[in-house]
Amino acid sequence: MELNLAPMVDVMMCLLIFFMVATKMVQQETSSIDLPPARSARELDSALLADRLVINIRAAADPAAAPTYLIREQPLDETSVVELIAREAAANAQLNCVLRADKSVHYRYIEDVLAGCLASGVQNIAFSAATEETTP
Amino acid sequence: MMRSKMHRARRPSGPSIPNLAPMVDVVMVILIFFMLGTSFALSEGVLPSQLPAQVGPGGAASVSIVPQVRIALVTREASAQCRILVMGKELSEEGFEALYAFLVQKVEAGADPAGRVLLAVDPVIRYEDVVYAMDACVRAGMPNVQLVVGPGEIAAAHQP
Repeated sequence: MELNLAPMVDVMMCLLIFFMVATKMVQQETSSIDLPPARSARELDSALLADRLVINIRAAADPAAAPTYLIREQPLDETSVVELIAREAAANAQLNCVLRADKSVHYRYIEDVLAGCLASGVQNIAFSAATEETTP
Repeated sequence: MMRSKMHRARRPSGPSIPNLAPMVDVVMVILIFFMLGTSFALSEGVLPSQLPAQVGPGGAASVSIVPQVRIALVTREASAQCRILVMGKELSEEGFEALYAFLVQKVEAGADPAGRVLLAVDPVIRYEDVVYAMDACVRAGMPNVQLVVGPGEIAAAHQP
């Protein structure tokens, strides 16, 4: 009697494609950022998940220098980020922003993004933090 | 002798079925790699916050809400260290644990936990200090933290 492997191959191929696509999606949203730890950081409210815009802010070698803004793995300058927020907010009134910044980034660069959110009417902002370590 | 035996080996008469076993082996290895490589449970969370609401055409005027607590993170002269001012006064002890202790005391003294905490931050303060301040507020039971945007608002937050 021979074992019919065809159904097993079908299932395995589906799983394989699922994990390949999921890996890519997770990578796109979460660029490697050195987040500060916070004990009270929780998962984003599920009601806000679908309408979120993740803005990554990666510090330059000199913390006083302008950082790199990354949205969907695309490097942008400050003006482009503000324009993108305005466009996305115009298309989706429920838009909320998740800010992921390196811990050494100066607040002035975060405030520029917040000012852009405020001008576009985006009120819900979430600040990302690491959950594993403990706050000093 | 052997040659004659090989010639005598019978061949299957029907269509040949490909052997799927090596393919299954390879696909299994790739599948396990991607399963282990994909991390859905990220080791990060978020601290939610709200920006002030704006009213009027184009958001001309901001809605003013009297906050329960005003916190300002300012820099020390000649260093990048962070000073914490609460209602315009510097805390007697340094660090974010002192801020946490102050807020816990305030909640225990009857402050409304749903009240707004206004957080004003100097431009050269680092992101980690902003997160520590927000973390202290949330842990103390005052989760409604509102960040101040704009220099005029920051000056107001420094007032007692």
